[in-house]
Amino acid sequence: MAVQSTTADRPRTLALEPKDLLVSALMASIGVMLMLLAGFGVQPGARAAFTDQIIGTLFTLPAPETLYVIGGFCLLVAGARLYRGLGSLRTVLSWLAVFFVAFAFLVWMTSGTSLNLPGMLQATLLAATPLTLGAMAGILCERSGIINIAIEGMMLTAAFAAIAFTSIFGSMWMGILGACLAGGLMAAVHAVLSIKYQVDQIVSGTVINILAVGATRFLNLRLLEPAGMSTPGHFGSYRVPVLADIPIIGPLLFDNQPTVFIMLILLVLVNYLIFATPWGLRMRACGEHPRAADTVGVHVNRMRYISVIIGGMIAGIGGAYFSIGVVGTFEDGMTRGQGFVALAAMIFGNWNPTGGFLAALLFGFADALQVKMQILRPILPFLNTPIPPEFLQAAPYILTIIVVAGVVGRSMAPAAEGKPYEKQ
Amino acid sequence: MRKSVGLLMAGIMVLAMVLASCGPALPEGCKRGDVKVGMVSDVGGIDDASFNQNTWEGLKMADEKLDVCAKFIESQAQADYEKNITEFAEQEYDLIITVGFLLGDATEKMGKQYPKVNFGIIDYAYDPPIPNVKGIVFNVDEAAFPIGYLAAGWAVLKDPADPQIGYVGGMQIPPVEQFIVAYAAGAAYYNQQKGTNVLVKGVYVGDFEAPDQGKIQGNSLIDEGVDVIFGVGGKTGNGGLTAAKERGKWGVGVDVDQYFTLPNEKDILITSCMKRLDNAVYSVVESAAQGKFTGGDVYVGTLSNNGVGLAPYHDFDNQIPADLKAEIDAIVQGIIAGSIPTGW
Repeated sequence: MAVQSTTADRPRTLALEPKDLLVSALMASIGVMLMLLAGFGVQPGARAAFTDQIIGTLFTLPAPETLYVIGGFCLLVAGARLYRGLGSLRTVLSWLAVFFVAFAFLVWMTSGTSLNLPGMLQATLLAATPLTLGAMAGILCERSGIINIAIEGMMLTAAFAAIAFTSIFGSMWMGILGACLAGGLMAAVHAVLSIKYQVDQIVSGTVINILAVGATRFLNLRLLEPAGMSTPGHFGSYRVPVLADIPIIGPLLFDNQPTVFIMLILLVLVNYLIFATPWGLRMRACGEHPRAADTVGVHVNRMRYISVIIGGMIAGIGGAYFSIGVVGTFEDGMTRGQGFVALAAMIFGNWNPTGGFLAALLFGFADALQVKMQILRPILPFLNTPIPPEFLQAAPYILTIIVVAGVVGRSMAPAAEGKPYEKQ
Repeated sequence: MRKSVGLLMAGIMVLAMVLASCGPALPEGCKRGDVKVGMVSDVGGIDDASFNQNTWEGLKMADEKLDVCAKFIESQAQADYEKNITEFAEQEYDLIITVGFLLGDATEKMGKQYPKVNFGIIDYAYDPPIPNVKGIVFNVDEAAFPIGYLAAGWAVLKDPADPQIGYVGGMQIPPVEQFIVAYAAGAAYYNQQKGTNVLVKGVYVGDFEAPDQGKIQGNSLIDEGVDVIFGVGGKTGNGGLTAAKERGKWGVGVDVDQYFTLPNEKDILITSCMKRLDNAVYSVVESAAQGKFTGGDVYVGTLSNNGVGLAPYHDFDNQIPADLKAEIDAIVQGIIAGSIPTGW
């Protein structure tokens, strides 16, 4: 904080910070790379066709020309980064450049062939669904002052509970309910350990993650499978009438499995709850300055219990996505660390649900991109080899490390996070 | 109060650890004089409806029919391999079957450490050989090649304007690539014979236990026009078949006849590319029970010894044209005779 304020107080000079130079150099090298790709990586005159399942070809672009234009734009932005007079416009330009670079990759991959763009966006939204739900769970928890690294464990338990409830009650919606309850239960354990017993919150979270792996595996192997209840099937797509018939956007947003809809609705609700209701204000106060909140009569620990448990229930829906949402079975460890990626999305999104959603979309897009790269197998110029899938599979996680390390943007955790509160 | 918290935490930790490692079944039910056979699974789990489960079927068959006592330990993570092998070796098991290519290094190390124990490893052949380790490998390419041909023929039949076939693979390791290379070669052979242009597109997910990713990536393939999806990679591949089912496309199963293991997707499976681990493991265990186990060599499952094969067409038996079936049969004979190369 102190460092920041001195920066602000200092009269605005044209001196450059190391970060500006770094970003500028990065942009410039990406620009040069794109130009090289345009020159050597695509056939002259090759066109990239973007298609849709229903409509057919949406639009085609001349690949080399598009790459030259976007490469030039990157060089322009690299220059603009060095000119401080532009103020916040520079940030906008940088994000625009990131967007265009992603698009340039698509054009390069697609040159001479075609790519289903809406399908890719749909895959992005699907992959972002559990991440966003997990991120919202984390936000509710941490905004109230409790660190939550147990999202993974909550989701895994919920994924299992969803299958069990669906099998027992014969309804997917009961499965969602079961997932909510299981997530809430694991969250309650976390809350009791960290609020009542003031256990280190990282340790408590770790315990829950380990417990979830063992407990779900045991119950699945010894109870669910012998009873023949391990494959209850999964949610099909739900079409919203009329809206789903809108070209491109319709299938993307209004023809999806229910967890996606629930995620979008919760996104609006949680945003409203945290930032527009008195309850949200009190809850945030508990995470920033619990003593002050207590002084004006907020029950800090009760607020924290409620927030953590609601968060767990939301994480539970994220868990249901994996089992009854997509495939209809439970597999050991099927959440595959997505709960931790959700944490990264939360931090990237600056403890803000909308930010978390955008971050999740970015991760989802990186994943969808690597899939399409494997399918289309664009050949790298000079090296004459396709990009190895292992590298592409690691890409979203490399991105996560970069984000968590704070290279992109600056995120600010709630001030009182991780500190137990005792009434004096 | 502090003490009770400590106890609570310790209790939860212990519970978690116990549950996380459903430890080795005690050799209960073993008769004196039985040949003790232990199986160390790969991380997919004993109930994976393909790879590990099929191996275990072979061991169970041996347990029932021969004077053999079979047990298994499931590996939770790749770091568990050596620990689990040691578990059996220390209990003086006679034969330890390790299931899968990824256990190659662990088996080599433990084989040298316990020279008196015999080992059999699925999908691995050592060069130079290790005297007490038998490699069990499968020429799955011999079965995948005709399946590539069949899938191409089916795609041409159902989508003559833009026939494409695809695959959703697990990790990109040789036993998976072996399927896929021959599958693609089979499609290429079809193109060459018929003058068609059936494209082959595919994805490696990098994981054998990610059905959600398999499904998203299967959908991605279908978005690009793929008509038949070959799911090669445990549960990940099954996710690809789920995508095919939802989108009204077709699929090919792997390892076992998945018509019987995937109740939700069975009606879109035109066939399965079978790798008869059960037969192979049974014959290795049988030789051990008869005292004829030989280490340092390799068992090869082929089309001719029923180590690999095509599953029946089941629901598609009436829909696949007779001449396509006849061509498939001819190709199978050609591969057995060695006149058709599979591309692997």
